Amino acid sequence: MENKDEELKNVNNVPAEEAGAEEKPTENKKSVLTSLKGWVNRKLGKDKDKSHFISAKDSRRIQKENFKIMREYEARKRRKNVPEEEYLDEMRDPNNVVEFEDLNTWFFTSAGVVKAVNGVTFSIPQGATVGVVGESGCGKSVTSLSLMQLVAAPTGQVIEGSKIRFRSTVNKKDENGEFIPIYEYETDEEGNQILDEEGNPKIKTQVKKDKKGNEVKGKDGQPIIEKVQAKDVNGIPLYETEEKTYNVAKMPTEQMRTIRGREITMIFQEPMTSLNPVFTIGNQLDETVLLHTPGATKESAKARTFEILRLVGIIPENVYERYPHELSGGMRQRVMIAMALVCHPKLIIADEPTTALDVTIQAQILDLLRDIKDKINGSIMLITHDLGVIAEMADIVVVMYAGRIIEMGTAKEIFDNPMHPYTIGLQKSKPAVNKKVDRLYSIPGAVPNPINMPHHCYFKDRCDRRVGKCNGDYPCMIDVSPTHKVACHLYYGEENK
Amino acid sequence: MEENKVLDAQNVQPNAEHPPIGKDDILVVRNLKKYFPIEKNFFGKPIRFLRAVDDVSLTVKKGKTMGIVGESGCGKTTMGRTILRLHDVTAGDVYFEGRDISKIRGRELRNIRSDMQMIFQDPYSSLSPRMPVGEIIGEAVRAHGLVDPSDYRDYILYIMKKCGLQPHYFDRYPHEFSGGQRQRICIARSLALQPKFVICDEPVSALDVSIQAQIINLLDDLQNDMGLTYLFISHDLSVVEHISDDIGVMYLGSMVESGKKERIFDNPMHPYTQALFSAVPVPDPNVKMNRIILKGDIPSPANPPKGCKFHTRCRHCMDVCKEVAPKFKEYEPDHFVACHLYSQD
Repeated sequence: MENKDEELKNVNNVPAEEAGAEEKPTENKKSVLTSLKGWVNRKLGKDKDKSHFISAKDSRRIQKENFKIMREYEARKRRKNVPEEEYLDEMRDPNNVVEFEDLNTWFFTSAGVVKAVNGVTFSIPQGATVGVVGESGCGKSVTSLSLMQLVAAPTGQVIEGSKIRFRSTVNKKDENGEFIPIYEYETDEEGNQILDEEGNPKIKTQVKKDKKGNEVKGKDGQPIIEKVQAKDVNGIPLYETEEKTYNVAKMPTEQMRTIRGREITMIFQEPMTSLNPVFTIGNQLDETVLLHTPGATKESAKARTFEILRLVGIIPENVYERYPHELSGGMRQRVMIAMALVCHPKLIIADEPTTALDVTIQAQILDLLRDIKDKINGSIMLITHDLGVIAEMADIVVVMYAGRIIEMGTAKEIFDNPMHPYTIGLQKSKPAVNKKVDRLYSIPGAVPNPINMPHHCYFKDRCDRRVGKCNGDYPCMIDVSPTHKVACHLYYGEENK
Repeated sequence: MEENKVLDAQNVQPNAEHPPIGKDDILVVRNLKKYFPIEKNFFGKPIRFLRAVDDVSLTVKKGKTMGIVGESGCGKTTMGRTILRLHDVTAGDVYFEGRDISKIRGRELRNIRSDMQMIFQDPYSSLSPRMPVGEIIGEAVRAHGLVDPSDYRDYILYIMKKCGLQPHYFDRYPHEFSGGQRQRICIARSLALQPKFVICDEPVSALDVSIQAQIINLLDDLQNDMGLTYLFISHDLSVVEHISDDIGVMYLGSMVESGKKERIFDNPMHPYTQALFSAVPVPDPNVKMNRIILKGDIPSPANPPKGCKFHTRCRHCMDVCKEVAPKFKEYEPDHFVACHLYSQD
């Protein structure tokens, strides 16, 4: 909302005018004129507080400017045949799966530019659960959508200069641009590899057959001998892979499709609205496999689907042929999780996975997520506003407020030693079972209007520990310990040196 | 048919087992039932029912807060609405200030409406987008003729101030406000009628954590100021624990446990209550909970299981649970449980 002082001024203005008009009635022409003016204004509704409106003229001007910028960004994303070097990058720390560096995601609306994510820097290590907490509108969902390139375009754009580095595993290509298959090697009865004359392991061969099982004959009439490609338990052929680091922020949409849904997957908040109501569960899961796995057949895709459904605790035969509306909320969320897991992703983004569910079902789903993370050795980025869920699941906690990170650290640090006044307030304002307080602590006011943010700390107006320095620039991140960082003027000079 | 028998129960006199209504009891609900017809036969007579509320009894003391917890679909909201007579009562009695209101109608009902109000769950959909705030709050005041037309504006402004709304919001429209402010408007609307009894139907579940605390504190202050009585419906156990004096736990349309807050939280007796309490995530990474994880989902109220309704998910399920519904009995002073684990005699 608007500035409080301004509001108060507006409130005081109106009665002051009225009172002045009543006190000296018709003493001279001027007072008559002013009272008349006041009366006309009141009738026309001009005395009302309009500070919360934006005029149509202004709005049009802003739209015109935005249109230019948005068109540029969209064209860049839609390019075809972009050389890979343009979006290749190097990880700062090879243990990380994702590194956000100075991520800016802005929305170009007709009321002005909304900086939904404003200079966010953090990373997700391999095998860890990173929890992102914050109130609605603080940019936690937009951060994850930026990583998926799913920000509502064309209004929402990842601004140039933002870096989202993702360590991707891709299939190796040979000179002709084709994938290099992994072959099966001949083994003896004890399972040892048989070596050929040159000392290399011998590759298994077989006679090439067509779909009906007939032998395929070459031009000379002899059956063709081919090498046997290795397959996983579900019958999906394997290829050689390599690791590459991509800058997702610069990637064109075409290339992004090969990563999205395969290596980074997302579990959405509303399982009912994110499943397609006109396709069966099996159909939707198979589709994901067929789309992202080269060489997968319908049978092997179904086998993979069955395997994953069993992993999330569903009996596959019961669900495979069903439609989403036939399942309960908890089951649907399990299917969503299965869909996210079906391509063995490196990173699962769980965007409020349990908010729409009941407490007892929530406990089931959280238990499942914890279980699965260990089984697939992936990382989870957990987005939620529930501090309880974060405390239970996360290894690293990132607290966001109005598009910026205000504090981050390990779960222990954030919950045992919260430093930013907002983090402290957030923890105090949540009533806890078996913790008796007479009156809840409440943070006064509301989140500021995201358009035209001030230069000082965004939390200043709601903070109960503000000092003179808070009127200055936005505080930068201070390292309190190697893992614990906080953005607050109170802790300047307490850096860990 | 069984349902028809139950429907006939409307004419049965109140059960003699119930204690008499005390002076402090502002609301007494006895064997309240609300069935919705879901299937009709050829002649239009309902043959199958959805038992949204099935035999619920509770007592709310004046100036106190009773919290109702349960999963979605367990009938807490329907119960609240039925008590307010927004739904018709299928069977059972509702005594408000010692008077049975389950069958009154017309002018009598209209007069009693201003004493009982409701705060709805979703502040985004429960405010008319075409009315300014002052009109939203004042509409019912005018309809009931509560204040003199000349004092009307001052009265609304007074109510708005009380609920933490600034006077110049009077002419604004709901879409200009954030969720927390809208919920304040909803609260102001129900309090403008100076009710004695307010049903809060999940008033904070659509709000952010920092705003939740503001609204809970506001409800607390208003209760102290105006001597209100709340029936606080929520699925958030921590909120209910903070605000309530008494607690009722519902499962599939029935009350499974009720009593004083301290007794229920210190000693949950029903297996469902135990599982529910253990499922709440604790905002402290050092606490490792011994979690009881319930298997499966809540069954459909259109086709509830026979015997104890919870037996399909209960870890202590015995043979008797599948056949006989347990009685709702007092095992400690102010602590009622319906479970076969405890003696039924």
